[in-house]
Amino acid sequence: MALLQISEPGQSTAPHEHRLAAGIDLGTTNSLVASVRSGVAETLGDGEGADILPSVVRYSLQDGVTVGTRALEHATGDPLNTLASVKRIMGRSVGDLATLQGYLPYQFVDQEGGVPQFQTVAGPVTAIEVSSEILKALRTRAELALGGELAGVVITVPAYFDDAQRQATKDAAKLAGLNVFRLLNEPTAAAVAYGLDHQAEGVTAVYDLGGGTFDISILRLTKGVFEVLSTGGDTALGGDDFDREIASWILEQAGLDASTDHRFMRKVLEAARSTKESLTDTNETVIRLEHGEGGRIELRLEVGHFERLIAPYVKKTIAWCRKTLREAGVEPSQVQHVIMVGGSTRIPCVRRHVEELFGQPPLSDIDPDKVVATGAARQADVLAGNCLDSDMLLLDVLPLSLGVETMGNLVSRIIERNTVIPVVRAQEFTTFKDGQTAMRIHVVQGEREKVEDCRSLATFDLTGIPPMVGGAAHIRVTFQVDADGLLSVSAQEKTSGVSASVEVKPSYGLTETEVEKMLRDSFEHAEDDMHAKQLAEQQVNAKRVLEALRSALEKDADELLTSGEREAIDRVRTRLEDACEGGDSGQIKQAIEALEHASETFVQRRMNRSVQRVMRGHRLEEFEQD
Amino acid sequence: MNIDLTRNYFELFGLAESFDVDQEALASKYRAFQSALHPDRFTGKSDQEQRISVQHTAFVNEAYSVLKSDLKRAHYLLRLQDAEFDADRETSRDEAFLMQQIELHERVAELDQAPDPAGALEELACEFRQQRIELISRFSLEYAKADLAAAKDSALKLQFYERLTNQLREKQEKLEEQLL
Repeated sequence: MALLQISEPGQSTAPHEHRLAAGIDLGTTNSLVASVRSGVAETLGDGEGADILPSVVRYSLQDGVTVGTRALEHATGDPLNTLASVKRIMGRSVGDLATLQGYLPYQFVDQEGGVPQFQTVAGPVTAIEVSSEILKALRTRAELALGGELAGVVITVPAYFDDAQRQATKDAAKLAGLNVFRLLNEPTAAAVAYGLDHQAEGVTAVYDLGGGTFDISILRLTKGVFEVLSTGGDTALGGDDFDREIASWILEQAGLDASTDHRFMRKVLEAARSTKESLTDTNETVIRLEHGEGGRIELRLEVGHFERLIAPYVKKTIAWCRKTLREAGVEPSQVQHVIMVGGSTRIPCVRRHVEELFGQPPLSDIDPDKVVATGAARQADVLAGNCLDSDMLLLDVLPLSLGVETMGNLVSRIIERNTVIPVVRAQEFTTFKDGQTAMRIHVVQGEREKVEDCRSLATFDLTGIPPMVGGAAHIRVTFQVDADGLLSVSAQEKTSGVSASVEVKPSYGLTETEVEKMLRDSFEHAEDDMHAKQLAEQQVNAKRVLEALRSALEKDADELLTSGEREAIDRVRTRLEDACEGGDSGQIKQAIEALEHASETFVQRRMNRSVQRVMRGHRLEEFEQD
Repeated sequence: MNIDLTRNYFELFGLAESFDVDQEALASKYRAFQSALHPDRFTGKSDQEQRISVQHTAFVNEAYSVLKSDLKRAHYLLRLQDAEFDADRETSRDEAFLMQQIELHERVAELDQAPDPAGALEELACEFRQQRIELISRFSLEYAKADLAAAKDSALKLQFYERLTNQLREKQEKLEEQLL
């Protein structure tokens, strides 16, 4: 009998083998997961026909953690342990809660600073942990539907999410045990889904109004390349605001106050939401509610009045559209396609305003709820290496300027918003006092001039600066924003060449150690499991490195390496192969680093050769897909 | 770091070192670079390859942003000729021009009081656009003739209009907010 070779799920690096990948739309109100199967991107259901997973998590002593519809059923009965719309506080601080309180009728742990924590029967939880529960549920769903472990996912975020909000999303994914290929901006994902299905070309506007966030992106579509020209938005504007406006109107009409009664407030918000939904296809609706001991409310709301209630929000989105068009250098009339995304774009008055601005009706043949997830699934499929003949490429931008604090609480801009990412910029700083060996750099994000009007991202302590006369040290600080829109910082003293070490203290996020700890806590037999997991991770890493190097050497060693260089790499390569056989994750890690160091020149030469080839005008197809 | 990214941007994109750039050829070369170098092409690879890909892509992005923009390209050309200037410290010596700039600044500042602010704004925007077009073609000629002093003066003036245009844009946003 022939033995079947079974590789570890999702981890095979053999060429042309299909790797399981998924796109996840982690929304304020609803979340979805999608995948490409037989060339078609489709959302995955829960087995009972529902594709949409309400972004709601309930913590209970009897039932443990429940997610989605089953959690939502308890929203009114158990309001403080049933958490919804937590996306609103991803990457936010305790100080931000005051402005968000109305949206989040929960109890928070009384704390001075740091990441806000919800008080639940199961103890305090952060928005990152709540989001990771939603991601875990989607992961399970996808793995059941696809029949194996996911090699990686693409998770979408609002284009206007700042660094802290993106980092929080990535941390949630890490806690859920997901390998994140890429964080993708929601409007870009929608453009991908639409653009690929319709072979669209030209300037495209994506208007994305969801439950809690608004984004507008202007893109240029050229032969599979999706180039974001500019992006704008508001991460605290969405359908939730419309519900709140209707709810306040109801309470005002009824002469009631619900600020202390969480259950009743939930009921009013629920009634407001269904009122909003029924007004998408009727001109008038009746709201019926019971309150207290036998009290009854019966109110009539006309669509015209509803539109007046939400008008300030809709106008704000239109102002953002104009601003973003200007930044792209595009006139409204030059836009060829207008894509609508997010449940709130079903509201006729929203569509009317958008149509008026662009002078054309927005496209209506796409499902505004699913388009983001299917677009993400497309990119996940490409990134997993499943479509080697795809030319698809997404070029995105930094949504908000990055800068550092300078004298007088002013911000010195280092990278302007709408700069194409990845981007690397360096800035020089000098010491103030004689013999100064450390320096603190405060990084902020936003468009305002004063530090306090921008979002504080992190402080970086540079230490190990060689002592010199004040002003003599030249410290070159390099800011790098990667393809996920995430910032990293490194520093070097120029005259001495000493690398100053950089310690990141995120202003509103978790430190790497905290994420590690949460991860550890989530394992029942913490120590053993953690070690086994680390070992498995390093082994997978090592395999990836070895496989990439093997195929690169096979192709290019003869052309790009002398036999001596080749031998040096091979020696270190054998060390890593040996380390893999052993059970020490630390040793494997060291051997990986050693091999990367040994092959640095080779990798550089290969990349430079790619540059040369493009310079010489080779066509794309001539590049090896390796 | 031993990446060979000290390359001249024009050379990188296979363009002649001149102010006039075929924007279509530039954009198409840019897409070819991105298709070969972007981190999305290295997702399954080692962290090292991903890191090097980020550095290369960032360099190509920087080069493209400079070559694409008239003002940045003008600065870059002057830098290549060692005629670089510090826009924050240096200014044009053309007094009539400076007087005119003061007047234009005032007109921008007083837009709110105009009987028809939106119309007045559009009028100014149109005027700035024309001035910019004129300065750009002047720079192009001066640079081609290797008259660097004149070219530098035109670039400095262009910088003035850049600032004015930005101020006007901010003004426009404020006006639009007021209409909400």
